[in-house]
Amino acid sequence: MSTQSPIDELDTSAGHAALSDALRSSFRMLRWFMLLLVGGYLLSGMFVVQQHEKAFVLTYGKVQGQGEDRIKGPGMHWTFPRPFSEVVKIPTLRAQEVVSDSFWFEMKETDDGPKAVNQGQTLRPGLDGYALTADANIVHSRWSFQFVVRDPEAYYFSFHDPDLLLHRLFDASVVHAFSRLTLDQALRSDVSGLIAEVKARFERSCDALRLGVNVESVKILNIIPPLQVFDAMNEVNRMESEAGTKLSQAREYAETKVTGAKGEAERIEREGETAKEELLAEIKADVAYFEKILERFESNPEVMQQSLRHDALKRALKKVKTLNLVHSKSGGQRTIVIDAGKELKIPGVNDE
Amino acid sequence: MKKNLPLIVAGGIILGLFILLQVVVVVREGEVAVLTHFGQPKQELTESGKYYKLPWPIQKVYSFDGRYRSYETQIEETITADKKNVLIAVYIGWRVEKPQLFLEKVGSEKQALDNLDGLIRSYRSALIGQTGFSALVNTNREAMAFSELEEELLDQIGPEALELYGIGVATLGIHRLGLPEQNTKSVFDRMNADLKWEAEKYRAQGNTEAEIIRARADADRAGILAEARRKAKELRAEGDFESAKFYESFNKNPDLAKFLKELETIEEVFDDETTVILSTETVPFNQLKAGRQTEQKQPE
Repeated sequence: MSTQSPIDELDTSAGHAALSDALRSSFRMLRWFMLLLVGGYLLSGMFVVQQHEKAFVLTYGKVQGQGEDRIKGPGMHWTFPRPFSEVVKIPTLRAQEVVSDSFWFEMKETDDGPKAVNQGQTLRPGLDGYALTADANIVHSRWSFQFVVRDPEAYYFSFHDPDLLLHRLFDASVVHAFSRLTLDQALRSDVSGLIAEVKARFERSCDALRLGVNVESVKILNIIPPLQVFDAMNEVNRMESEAGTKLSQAREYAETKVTGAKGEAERIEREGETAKEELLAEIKADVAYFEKILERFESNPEVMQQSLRHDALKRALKKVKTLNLVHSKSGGQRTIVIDAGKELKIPGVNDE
Repeated sequence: MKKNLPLIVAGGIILGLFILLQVVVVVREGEVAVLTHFGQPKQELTESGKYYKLPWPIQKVYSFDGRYRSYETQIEETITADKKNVLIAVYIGWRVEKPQLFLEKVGSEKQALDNLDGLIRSYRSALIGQTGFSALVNTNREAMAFSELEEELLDQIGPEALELYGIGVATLGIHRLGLPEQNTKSVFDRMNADLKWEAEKYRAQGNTEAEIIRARADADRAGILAEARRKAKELRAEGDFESAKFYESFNKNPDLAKFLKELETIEEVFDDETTVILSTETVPFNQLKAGRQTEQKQPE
């Protein structure tokens, strides 16, 4: 026999119903939650490859696909999420730049800008980087190189830290190149040769290792002699510049002199040519005149001579500035004086 | 039962994943691994992909990064064959190539680096000790043996590292070459002296070359003018020579020719600056004689 009152029975059944509803509702929520979880898990297999990237899908650790299908290009892709698959993205198209300070001295920031930490008379191994030149001198330099990943599979899956290895290969190329050039060649006369040597060796090293990169460029950011010989180097540069100026001035002088001489020579030669032509023209004219006069002259030499003399005198006196006629007294001296513009005093004539 | 299906599926998935993790081994691309059976190496897993194994503790997998990595030694002082002290640092590119041997003889990356460091040190010092300083830096490229030195070092270290430790060495190079700290001062002293001499050389060279250029230019100018004068003289001589044949015409009456030349001379020497004083006895002025004593004519 039940000891519960009707009121108690009513309470119990209501409690069960409420519990049952709550459980049903929880299961319903759990079911949706599970569905959402599965959906979310499957959606997490979607991935986007940017335009400068390539991607590999590793399924159970192995690269998925064959041949060119192994590499996923830009766009949206889907694969089974972890732990079944894994996506590895590699920036390939963008040139990556690496700066090498391995051959530069330690710097510190000051109020006046960056300065060398070491102001002493020696270089500290490991802190003050430098390279030895072929003539056993010391040179500091800062470099940069740019590369693009040509073979992403080799670059990523064959090398643990390819950038570090690239850096070491590059540094070795720099050491090698400096060891073959003198300080003067490295600093001034063959800087392009130095860069070419570094790039060539660096490329060879990368290719030999099959790093899967293309070296795009190699640049020298700074190259200087040690600070300890800076003044002497500046003096060399100053002297070289002065010598250059002197040479330029001398070349300018030479150019002016020779060009002037050529002009003058041209003039002298033309004068010679003109003199020759004038002489010939004059002679020809004289001969023509002579031939013309000769016949008449020979028929009457006296009259012809007088006539010619008078004509000549007339033409000559027409040109003169002043003509003075001097009347000679008995036994007076006859004089012809030719003088440019001078006032002449003729004794015995002006006195009267 | 039907209502609980999602829960059963979810539970099944979780259980399945747990079992998978216990029996499936994934060797990633670039990895190598060794499968051991109760601690005994059983199989080298050098190809990427999935493998099956018995659950722990029966079988266990030891994975290693099988990609090449870089290692560089400290900068250390060593002596060349000609007793010169140099500082050298060497880098290598190495990887785990025989994972089983690596697991047995080395076990960890740190130990691998220690072993490699020892190998490099011993061979490097021995090799540099047989090499002259001039083989490392030299203006004469044929006398250098920089690359040969690196190749020889690699030839010595590579096979030994592989045989002893299961480590493959793909590349080796000298990435630092310098001088001991105390030696750098004497280098600077020498460089200062060299540079001083070089500055002096530029100064002297500049002066000398400039003088040579100027002197050469003066000489060139003199030569050009002399040549021009010679040519001009030659032309005049040609003129005189060519005119000689015309003079033959004057032989028909040399007196007339002389008379005409004299008249021409008189005409030519007079100009508008000339003052002429003539006697009234001069023809035709003798016609004026009967008149005044003197007359002056002022031409236009």
